Amino acid sequence: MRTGLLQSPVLLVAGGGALGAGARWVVLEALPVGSTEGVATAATLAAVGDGLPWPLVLVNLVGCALLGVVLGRGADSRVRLLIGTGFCGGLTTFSTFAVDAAGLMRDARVGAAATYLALSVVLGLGAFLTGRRFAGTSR
Amino acid sequence: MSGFTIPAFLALAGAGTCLRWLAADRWPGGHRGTLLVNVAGAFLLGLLVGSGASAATMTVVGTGGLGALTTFSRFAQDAADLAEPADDNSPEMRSLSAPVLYVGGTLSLGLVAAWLGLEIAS
Repeated sequence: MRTGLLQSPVLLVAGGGALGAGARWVVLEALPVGSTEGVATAATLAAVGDGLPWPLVLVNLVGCALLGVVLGRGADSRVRLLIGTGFCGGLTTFSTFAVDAAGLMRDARVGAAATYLALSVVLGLGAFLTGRRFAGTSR
Repeated sequence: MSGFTIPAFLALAGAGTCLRWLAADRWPGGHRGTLLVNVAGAFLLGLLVGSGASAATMTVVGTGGLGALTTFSRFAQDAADLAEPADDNSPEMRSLSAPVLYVGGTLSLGLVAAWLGLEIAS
């Protein structure tokens, strides 16, 4: 039996992270930067967020919600390592978010940068709390 | 895209994820570890973007390695956990200073780190 290998924490974390990062790569390749397609169709949001990296906001939001669900369900440690630390951690990212925001500031688009920062944090935190609460009470 | 792009991407993403796990679970541990990898990853990606790396390097090292090293989901979890201490005998005494400091610190340090990376490399 190879269950010992498959339960190796390093393999769970690395495998989940590689899959999550791969999924992020696919989504960001498919949705052009600045696209509001499939993310926000409300005219006001589109006007404020013109040219903002909405696809990454969406990816981070989904990863935060999924992590909330995993933790809310009280999943065992192997599932938390594979899906929580691995997949959700690999799917979501901070580095691209920070460089995008710094780029907006360098372009003197301070309002756009502030909107991007605030919306990412509020939506990410809201998605995490919603996922955790939903999963926690549905058991 | 060369034939090495996908395996290299997956390998660096796996390695970045393991480093992030070590930082959060071993040293420096917890939300401090997540803060450390997020700020370090933002700086390194700033350097990479500023240096005008090739598209393949950007994908493998930037999107894969540094993207997986850093995290937004654990950042949100940390912020929520800091607002709800484990020792919850006095919920009315909950303080919002810790999560606000953590979120504000991560955002400002990450932004400055990314900016510095871009400036140094370009």
